[in-house]
Parts: sequence; structure tokens; C-alpha cells
Amino acid sequence: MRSPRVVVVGNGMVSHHFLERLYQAGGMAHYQVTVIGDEPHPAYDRIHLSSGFTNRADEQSSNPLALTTARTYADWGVALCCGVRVREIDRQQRCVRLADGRAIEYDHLILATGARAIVPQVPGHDLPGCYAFRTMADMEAIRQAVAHANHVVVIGGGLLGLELAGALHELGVSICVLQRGPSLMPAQLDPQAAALVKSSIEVPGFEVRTSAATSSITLRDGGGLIVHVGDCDIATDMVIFSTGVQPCDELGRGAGLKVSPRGGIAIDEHSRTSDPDIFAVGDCAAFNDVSYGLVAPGYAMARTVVSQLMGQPTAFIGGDTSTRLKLRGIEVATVGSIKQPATDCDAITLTDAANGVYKRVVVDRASRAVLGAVMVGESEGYDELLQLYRDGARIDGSPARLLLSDQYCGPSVPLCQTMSSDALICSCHAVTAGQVRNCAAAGLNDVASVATATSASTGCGSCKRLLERYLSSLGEQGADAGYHPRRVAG
Amino acid sequence: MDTNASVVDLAGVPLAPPRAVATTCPYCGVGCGVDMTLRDGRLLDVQGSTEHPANRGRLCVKGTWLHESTALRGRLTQPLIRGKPADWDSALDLIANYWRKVIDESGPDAVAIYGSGQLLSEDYYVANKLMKGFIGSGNMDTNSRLCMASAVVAYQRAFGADAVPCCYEDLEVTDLLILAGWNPAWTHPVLYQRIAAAKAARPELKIVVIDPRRTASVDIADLHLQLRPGTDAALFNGLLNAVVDAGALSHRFIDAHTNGLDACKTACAPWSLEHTADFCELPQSDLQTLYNWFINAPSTVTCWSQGLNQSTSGVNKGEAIINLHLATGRIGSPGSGPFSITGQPNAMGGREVGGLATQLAAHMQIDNPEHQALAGRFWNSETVARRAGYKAVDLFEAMLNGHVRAVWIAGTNPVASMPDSARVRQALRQCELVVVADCIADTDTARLADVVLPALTWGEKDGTATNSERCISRQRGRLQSAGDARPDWWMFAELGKRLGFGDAFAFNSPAQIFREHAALSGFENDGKRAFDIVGLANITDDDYESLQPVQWPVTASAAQGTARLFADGRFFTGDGRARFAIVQPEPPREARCNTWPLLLNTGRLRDQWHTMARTGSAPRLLAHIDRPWLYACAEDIECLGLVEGEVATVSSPRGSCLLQVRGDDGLRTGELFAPMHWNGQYASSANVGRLIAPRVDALSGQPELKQTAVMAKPFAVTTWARLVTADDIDPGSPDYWVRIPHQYGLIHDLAVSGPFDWQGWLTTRFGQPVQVVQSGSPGEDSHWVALAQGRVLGVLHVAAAFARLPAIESLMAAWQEAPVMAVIEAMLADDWARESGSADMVCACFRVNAEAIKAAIADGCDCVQAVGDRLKCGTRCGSCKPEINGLLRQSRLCNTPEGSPLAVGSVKKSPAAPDGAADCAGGPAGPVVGEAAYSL
Ligand SMILES: Cc1cc2nc3c(=O)[nH]c(=O)nc-3n(C[C@H](O)[C@H](O)[C@H](O)COP(=O)(O)OP(=O)(O)OC[C@H]3O[C@@H](n4cnc5c(N)ncnc54)[C@H](O)[C@@H]3O)c2cc1C
Ligand code: SF4
Repeated sequence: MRSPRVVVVGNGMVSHHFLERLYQAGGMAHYQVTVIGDEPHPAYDRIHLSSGFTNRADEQSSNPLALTTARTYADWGVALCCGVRVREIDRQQRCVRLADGRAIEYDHLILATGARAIVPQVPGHDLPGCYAFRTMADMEAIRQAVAHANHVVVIGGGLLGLELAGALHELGVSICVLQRGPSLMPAQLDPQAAALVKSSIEVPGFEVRTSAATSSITLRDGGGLIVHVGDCDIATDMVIFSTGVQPCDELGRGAGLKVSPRGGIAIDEHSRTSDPDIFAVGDCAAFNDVSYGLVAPGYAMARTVVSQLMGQPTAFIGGDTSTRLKLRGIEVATVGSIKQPATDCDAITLTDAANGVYKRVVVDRASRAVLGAVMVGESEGYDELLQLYRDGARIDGSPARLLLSDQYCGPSVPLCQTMSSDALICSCHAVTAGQVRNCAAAGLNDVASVATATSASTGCGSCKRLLERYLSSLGEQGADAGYHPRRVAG
Repeated sequence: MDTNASVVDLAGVPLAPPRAVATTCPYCGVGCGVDMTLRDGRLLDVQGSTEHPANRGRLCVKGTWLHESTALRGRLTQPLIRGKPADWDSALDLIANYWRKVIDESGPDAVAIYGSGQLLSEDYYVANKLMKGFIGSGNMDTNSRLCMASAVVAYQRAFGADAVPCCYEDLEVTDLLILAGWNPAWTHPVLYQRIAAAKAARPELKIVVIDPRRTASVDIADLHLQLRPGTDAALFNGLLNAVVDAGALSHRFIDAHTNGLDACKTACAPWSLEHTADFCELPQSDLQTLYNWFINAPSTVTCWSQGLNQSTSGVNKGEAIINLHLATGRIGSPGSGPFSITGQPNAMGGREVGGLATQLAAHMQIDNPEHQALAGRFWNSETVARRAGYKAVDLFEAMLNGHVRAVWIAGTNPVASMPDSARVRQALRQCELVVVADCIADTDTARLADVVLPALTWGEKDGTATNSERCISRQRGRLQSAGDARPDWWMFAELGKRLGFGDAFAFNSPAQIFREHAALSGFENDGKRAFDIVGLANITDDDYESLQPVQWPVTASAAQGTARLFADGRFFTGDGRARFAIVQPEPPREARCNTWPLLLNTGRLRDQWHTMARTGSAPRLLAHIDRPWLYACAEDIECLGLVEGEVATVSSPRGSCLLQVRGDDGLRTGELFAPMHWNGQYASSANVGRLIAPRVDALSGQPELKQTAVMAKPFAVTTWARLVTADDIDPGSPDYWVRIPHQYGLIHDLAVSGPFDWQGWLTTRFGQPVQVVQSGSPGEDSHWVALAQGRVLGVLHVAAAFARLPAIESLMAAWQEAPVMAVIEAMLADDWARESGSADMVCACFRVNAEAIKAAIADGCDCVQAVGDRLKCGTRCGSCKPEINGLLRQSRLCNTPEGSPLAVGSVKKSPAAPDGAADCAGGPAGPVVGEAAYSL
């Protein structure tokens, strides 16, 4: 009997995670798998794309961003078609048609086409010297151009824009970040946190302008560009757009699948689209009208699909949008969302102006569960907070305890005692505390070896610190130390 | 307090047994005797002296908690020259050199001393001797000018001497006691208690209160005449007219001892019952009641105080009262006399010494050549002053126009207490050399000084003070002095020496000064001058040390002192006869108009003293009324669009104040009341002095502090905040703030109009980096905690309305929590009991607030005694009894079907008072009350 055919469109991060999990679950024995990606190379680590500016592959060694190779896929039994686009889905014929004219039949179709950078249609956006930043090709182009530039304008003060700007600044170019709205990283931060991030990251040669809407871009006499912002002209050598992403949902639209009003192919809790044979995962999908644009929810969707295909269905219940990163040396960490209706929740804020620290935690008034938090400048207590958030644990006493140091709260309980075995450490790869404990018991007690064994911390990397602290608390308390509920958790 | 001898300190070392030392209270003019309990130079406790004739063991709240206002905090401990620490010699040399230069260049009238009724007689004597005896200028005036200068002039004109005829006993033994412009329940609580006790023992004693406000003192009154402000002279003229009509004149006394009745009678004749009632806005029946009572009373004491004195026709009012007593011969006998009550503890001592710019010394007249010569002989000086100096208001004016180039201000805070304070400030800036001697480091006036000198204060300094009944008592200094502080007399003597008057200022002790002062009073006196204490001129140091309270005159014939003056009907005028005055009643100079349609009255509160330099730091004394309220009746509050608890801008042509509004149905419509105490250290802009015109009585120079035409408007507060800190902070820039020292921490209430960065403000209050934790969202009440080094430094609560702030009681209870996390959690929670605006500690001694008393009353406690048995309130000093009784009365009114609570407020004029106080006890509506629901 012919094995059912699984066709994956797109070979980005989520697509790769899906393949890896399906392989690990033994799926290759049951399915005939094909993956088609339009980028010239197999899946790579898009998240750390900006590290490519400094940490470049030389000719000999393999690309450090690569998540896989054609060879690996071949070993797994996955048929890979690189550098070719899927043009349309033919649901009648149950096949996809490629740009090169081929048609590939499917029993299960998985759309993992991701998202593309939005480039605002301001006059001059397409002039030479203007770039977007989403793909390896974008990165390469920028890398080559930056080598001849002294000044770069980054349009967009979201997380990606700032990370990119920071990476370019390290190459020695002057940066001007233009944020259209009044505050930076509006998706993650409240205005106060954003203001602190702004004042913390600004230095001579790294300028940030908020409420700065670009009206047009023109060529400058004698080379370079001029970015027009209000009454002010900024002369620069290049412009990079980092103004958000748009789900690549056109295949779904073309095939008449249900699409979310805000873009993204609508999926249910099993990652199924309106056609039960078609799944969508990652940035191209919209769950409850939300397309996350983050890797962890995409991975969770991918695992959901694997579980469907392997006959042990689990559900996707929404994505964890927590992030933790360093922007030009400044810690910025978020948990859940702090944008909650004030009437239903209690919010506590901690500000330490002298040390550039701002923290805020929001707790549901009725359930006393953590709904969100943000930390800028310092992220002590982040892991515990994240844990409470993921567990939906009930907080006893004031949420202020979650923000204040031991000096005020009394000594904290070692992590290994506060995290239950099924508490997640790495949400990208769904690695639990119990798994890490098992690794440690087996003698794997540093981050690198646990990462190799479990992939923990190899996704977005937010959990690296937590993994480190968890391992060291195991070291102090002994791997067999018991689990005790946290002091503030009920 | 357990003061047994077997007490050990923390290290187990036995402490010296406590010692009791008798002294005198430094606050009001009652002059209560106080026994201090001391150990190792520390004041453990105070008790009312049972021996002292003024109080016989009683004390009011201020006296009872004297030991809580003697903390070293805020004390000035060393001389400062333009803000920099200096030694005494440099400071005094600088002053002396400058004074010498100014005197040489511009004459003696270019320097001045501005003293205070807080100084002791010895301090006063040396200052006055220096200025009037040697520098040769009349420019020694005092803040007594603001308090009883009008009474002084009235006495002088009538009796030929500034001589108070009465004694406190008269208040108890009289048949009719009239209290005019005097609220003893708050201003002289121990006298009030004596009166209340007398009333309880002798209910037939009739008490009449004449006051435009229904004050706490009305509690024991049989009749309250809530007259139009400033019309008292008309009322007394009308009364005298009625006495004439009734044929009740004492011709025997008039013929033997007075002059000028006829002209006086003529002046009173137009003041018929109808006209007077109309003019004073009083019901005729009430006036008639007073007339009847007065005409039929065998004896009468009429007490008056600031309500009458602080007026552009204050002398007139005093004279109108004196006329009545002369006309009926009710003077010089027990239970009779015109009795001016002084505010300050030693205003009387100042008058005796001659500390007013219009006096020379020891009851000698400054423009009398005979007296000039006499003083010159006694002091052995050629340069005795020949004419009156600048009176307070003129003195500051003279600094402004450069006539006075150097001033020494001792023991007073004119920037906070004078009218038109903006101008006073300007005057001090203008003046070339401003010296301020004070015990407190930061006062509004000291901020403008070139040289600041640290003075000893109560408990540290030695000397004498004279109270309202001419009783001279010792203040004894036993406490460790603060830093390098010195007595004021020493400073003036040092200045005298440096100005080259060495021999005359070689004083070593207060006793030595006192002997000289006593000798001067008797010098060539022979009964010509009322003030004579020659009997004390030769007392030894030991006698001085153990001097017992004694009422002057003290002479060979009256070695034990003199309780009453004029028993023999002999006065100190040339012919020995008292003079009737012609009184033409004048309304307040400042008239209301469309722009300034309200009348602002000012005065004292029960538990504060003057400009709060000392009492403000005693949490207990702020518990009663913790902020400067603007009081107004419900009708005005509504008409003006004000809201109780919120801030109002009160303005006059001279300036404006920000005060929180509070309802007081004891006020007439169109009239406001604000306390005079709050200085710039305790509130952002509550100094009512800046509103008041510097208009004075032409004769006494006393300013009209009681009636100012003003406007009041809502001040648009956008946010309120209540801050509690462990340590002192500078509130900085919010539009409105008041500072409230509390037992457990320092409270600031703040309000702003417009956007305000509370976080930035809080972060910068502590002089060190802090972490700030906040709960609450924009648009809601928010709660903030400032932390550093494991400690809570402060907590802030921000809300949209005053009534949304956490109530102080619950807030301070939470502030007290331990450990730190418990405080943080409590502060950030949003489950506060909110500010009710009426949690006044009625009883400061036992910290019982109005809410608790109301609850006890509701629970069946039906008299002051019962409430006291339940809650202890009123059982220590008793100052709060009138207020407890007021709450009882209020609840009775609420419960009587015919008397709704509204009725209390709607009565602006007294209804007819029934004859016989006992009958009207607890009457349903109106200020006529006679019930003494408590016994003392
Ligand atoms: C610079 C950068 C930094 C980031 N940092 C973070 C981070 O810190 N944390 C985080 O959680 N997320 C981060 N993200 C987002 C994260 O990379 C995405 O959420 C993740 O890559 C989504 O994976 P995906 O597989 O859904 O889509 P993608 O990775 O975008 O892959 C989709 C692939 O499908 C291909 N494709 C599209 N259409 C077709 C078609 N018709 N035929 C064939 N192929 C097609 C695309 O070319 C692409 O290769 C970052 C993104 C960028 C660009
Ligand atoms: S009545 Fe009070 S303030 Fe006045 S002297 Fe007596 S104790 Fe002091």
C-alpha cells in the first residue's frame, strides 16, 4: 500500500521543526514527505539572522545559521525541492503546482510559508540603497552594502529593527532608528518601559527618533539617500525597512481557504485550515485571528500537526509570546502581555531610575494569575515569573513580591524546588524541567550538552539563562532535590 | 509614667532619681504653673502645678504635652552669618559694628528691635534698656502690638495706666460673665475650664458670648450674640444707653471717681435697642436679654481679647467696655471689672518693662520729659529716647523706605504673623542687616536673615513671665541647652557692651536683671505708677530662685501682691479719677464689595501656638486639627461652588492662599474663618497674613487681623497625593501641600492642578537613589512605595479627590507594620478606608477621634462623663470637653423630631433666649445653650 503523501510548502524554521519532530516521532515510516522551499538553501535560523553580519560563514565551513542540510533531509527520507515556488494549490486534484510547472500530489498539505517583511509604500521606498530584512539574501545584500556605508537609517523601532540596528552599529556605522509611533517596541512594551529602553540605548552614533513618520526617500546629489521625516531631512547611505511582517497567505487565499481578516490562514486548535486535509503552521497561520510572528507558537503548531499525523492528537491552545533579549546590552524581557484592561487586573510597577530599571507585572484580579510582565534593564526574577505565567499559578499576596529582590521578600527558594517536572524550560522545543533533570541525572549538567540532547535553548534562545540557573540549582541541591511549590504560588 | 527611683537604663546602670521642678507654661496668657519631671537633664513628663494660682493643677493639651514639643529636632544650635556657621564673637561683632555705623550715619532711629511676648521679662528689660535707655531710640516694639495694644491704650486712656484691674477668681465669683471676642475654650483652655467648673457649681452664673462665630466656648453660654463682625462698640454703647434708661447708673461711684460721663452718655444716646439691634444684626429680644441681665446683675466681668483688639477701632471697643464698668461702678471688687485677656505668656511682662514702641519703661511714658529724666537718672544715661518709635506695621514700612536700616528680631516670626506678609518679606529683603534670634532653625523670617542667633527656649532658660492677671511667675531652666544657644538677655547685653555701654550691661544672671527691673518700677514712684514691684527689688538670688507666683503691685504695703486694682477707686490719672471715653462705633475699615464679597475672620485653634514654630513639630498637637482649613457655612460652600475637603483659593487685593474647605455651621453667611498658625514650613500657602491689609487702629497701631474682605473660589485640583516618610523631606513644587508630623512618621498632603510627574517627584525626595514600586493604573488611585537598602523610605497615594485618599489612621497603622514586605503589600493594596475629612482627634491626649465619639454617643453614652468613661476622652486635660459636648448636642438635634440637623446651620441669628439658662438646656435649635452636661 502506498504511504500517504505529506507535502510541506515552505522550508523555514517551523517547517524544519515539523520535519524534525515528525522524523523523531517515526513519521517517515508512515508518510512520504516532500518539502518545497523557494529560498535557495534549506532551513536556517532566521531569528539570529543579524548575527550573520559579524559571524559570517567563510567559504569552507558550513553556514553557522543553517538548521539543516539537504543531506540530513535525504537521510531522513524527506524529498527537498529548494529554490522553487509553489504557485497554487489545486484542492480538486489534491496537488500543489510549482512555478517550474511540476505538480505534486498530497494527502496532507502543510502550509509553512511564513511571513514577509512589509515595506511601506512611501515614495522612494524602492530606490537603490533601500532594503528589507527577512531572509538570508536580504542579510547578504545588506552586509555587502554596509561595508561601504557610514550611516544607516533603520525604519521601524520594533524588536527586529532595534536588534538589527544594534548589530549594524557594532560594525561601526552610525545609526538612526525612525519609529513612526510615539514609543519603541509597542507590541511588547508599555510607554514607560519603551521610554526607558530608548534612553538606555541611545548614545552618540546611535540615534532613536520616535513619532518620526517617513514621508519620502530621495536620492542625494553625489550619492546616498535623503530620508524626509516631517520638516527634517536625514542624509544617509542606506535605508533598511523593519516595519513589521505580513503573513504569506496568498496560496491559501487562492485556494479559497478561510483567511483571518487581519491576514493569515485561519486555523483551529489542531492547526487545521478550513480544508481538513490542509494544515497551516508558523507565521502564515492565524489562530483566533492572531498571527504570532514568533517561533515558539509556530513550533507548537508544528508539534500539533505531528501529533495529528501520528494519531495522538494534542491541541494548540495559543502561543507563548514571552521574549527575553539584550538590546545593545540592555536587558529587555517580556512575559505574556501587559496590555490588559485595567478593570480586570492589578498592575504593579517597579522603577529604579538610578539604575535604569523598569519592571511591570499584571495579574488577573479574580484568578490572581500572572497575565504579563515586562522587565527592562535587569531581569532578576524573570524565570520565576515566566514559570508562574506558564503554569497559570495563583499568586498569594502582592504581585510586588514578583518584582522585588530577596532583600524585601526574604531568600528565594531554589529553582529546582519551584519548578514541577512538567514545567516548560524551553518553550520553542517544549523541553520540560523533568527532561533536564533526567539529563542532569545522566551526567549532562552544562547547557551545551543539554542543548545537544534536547534542543533546549536552541530556538529563540530566551531560555538559555533559565536552563543555566536550573542546572546550577540542581547542582547545589542535588538532582534528586524535591519539588516544592513556590512561596508565592498557591 | 513610673518615676520610681529604682529605674535602670538599658545597660543596667541605675539612673538618677527623677526631679520635679516648678516652672510656667510658655504658651498662652493663662500662665499655668507646670511641674517638670526631669532625669539627667531630660524632661520625662509634665504635670500641672497644684500650687500655682492660675491653674491649680490643670493643664490644657498644649501644656500637658509640653515635653513632646521640646525635642531638639529643628533647633538652631549655633550662630549663622549668611547661612554659614560662625562663633558668637564674630556674629555679635558684626552686628555691633554695623549698628554703630548705621547709628553714626543715620541716627539712632535707623536701628530697631522687634521682640515678642515669648521673651521673658528679663530679656525684654535688657532689650528695652538698650534701645530706649542707651541707643536712644523708641524703636523697640513687639508682636504684642498684634495682640493687645488696643487694650493697653484703652486702659491707659481710662485709668492713666496700663493696669488690668481683675484677677482670674473674678471669673468664678461674678454673677454675669461676658466673653467678647474671646474663645477661651480654644485660646485659654484652663481659664475656660475654671469658668466651666464655676458654671457647674453655680448654674445661676450667667455667661454671654459675643462673637460672630459660634465657637466652642458657646458650649457653656446662656446666650450667644452672633453679631455682625466689628460692631461690638455699638453693642456696648447700646447697653450703656439701656443702663442709663433703666436708671442703673452708679452715681455714687461716678461722682466720686470718674470724669466725663455726660459726653459719653450723649455719644451712647442714639444707640436705642432698635438701632443697635439693626446695626449689630441681632434680634432685639437677645439684646434685651443681655440688657436685663446686665442691669440686674450685682457684679459683672467683661472679658475681651483679640476679637475686639485686632481692629481699626480696637481702642474704642475696649473703652466702650470700660465705660460700662465705670458707669456701674463694677470695678475693683470681687467679680467685677473690664478684663483684657492677653494671648501670649509674657505679653504682660513686655508691657511692664515698656517693650512697646509707645512706652518708655516700667509704666513711664516715652513722651513725658519728667519720665525721660527719671529713667536717665536711674540708668545713668544721657541718651534716653524722647519720642515713640515705630509701631510694628510702621516699623516694617520704615525698613521698606530705608528709614530703618538694621533690625533685630527676637522670638517672633513676623513674616508669618504680620498683615500683608508679602510686604513684610520685601521689607526684610530691603533692610541692610536683619538679625533673627530664635530657638528654631527654619522659620519664614529666619530665611530672610543675615545673621541668625540660637536662643534658649522653654525649659532651658531662666526668668519671669507675667500672665493675664498680673501674676509674675518663674520660668525655670533645667534642660540641657541646645548646642551653643544662649539666653536673649545675654545677647542684648553683649550688643550693649559692644556698642560701648559696658557698665550698664554687665549682667550676669536673670536675678540681677530682675532686681534692677524691680528697682526701676519703684524708683521715685510713690504710688504714681501702677506697675510697682519694688518689694522684690532686693531679693537674693536664692529668693529669686524660689520666687512664688505673685500679682503686682508688690510693695511695702502689699508685700504678698495685689489681687485686684482700684479697690479704693483711685486711678493713675492726674486727678486720680477714671475717664469716660466718647465712643463712636466704627465698622471695619475694609468693606466688602462685589469683587471681595466675603469677610475673612482669623484666629487660633485649640492645640496650636502662634506660627507653629514649636507646636507644629509635636504630632499630638496636630492630631486635633491637622491642617489649615478654610471654614465656611454650608450655604456659602454651595454658593461659591466649593467642595468640602477640596482646595479653595482665597484671595484679597494683596494676595492669595490655598486652603482646604470645611463646613462650619457656626459661621454667619458670607463670613469665613481660617486659622492664623500655618507658616511656610507647614503649608505651601496658608499664611493668612498675606491677605490682610496693614490697616491699623490709629491710636494703638494694632492691625485689623479679624476682618478682611476676600473672595473664595474652587482651586481646580487634578490630583491629590498623601505621602508618608520616615525622615524629613522637602515637598518641592506641588501647588498645594501641608506638612503633618505624625507620631509614626511625617505626612504630607499634596495637590496639583494640571499634569504632574508624581513618580519623578517621589524619586527625587530622598537625597539618594530609590526603587519605586507602584500599583494602580492610569486614571485610578495609585499607591507607591519608595525603597532603598531594604528599607521603606516613603509611601505615596495618589487619587483624583481628597476623599479618595487613604484615611490617615489606617494608613499610619499600615505604615507601622513589620516586616518591610508587609508594609509594601499593605501600601500597594487598594482596600483602604478612605479619607472622611472628619477624623479629627477631638481628644489629643488619648487619641480619640470624632468618629469614635459619635459611635459611643449612638451607643447610648448621653453625657460627656459617660463618653469619657467609655473612651477616656476628656479625662486628662479636659480641653476637648466642649467639643464632646458639641457632638452630643448635634446628635440630640438630629434625634429630635422638630430639630433637623439643618436647623443648626440655618440659624445665623440667635432666637430669643428664654430667661433662666437652665430652662433652655438642650433646646432644639439655636446657639442658646446652658447645659453643663459635665462636671469638672
Ligand atoms: C531578524 C529576525 C529576528 C527574529 N527574532 C525572533 C526572536 O527573537 N524570537 C522569535 O520567536 N521570533 C523571531 N523572529 C521571527 C521568527 O523568525 C519567525 O517567527 C519564524 O521564522 C517563523 O517561521 P516560519 O517557518 O513560519 O516562517 P519563515 O521562517 O518565514 O519561513 C517561511 C519560508 O517559506 C518560504 N515560502 C513562502 N512562500 C512560499 C511559497 N509559495 N513556496 C515556497 N516557499 C515559500 C519563505 O521564503 C521562507 O523561507 C525573528 C525574525 C527575523 C527576520
Ligand atoms: S492654658 Fe494651656 S497653653 Fe495656656 S498656659 Fe495653661 S497649659 Fe499653657
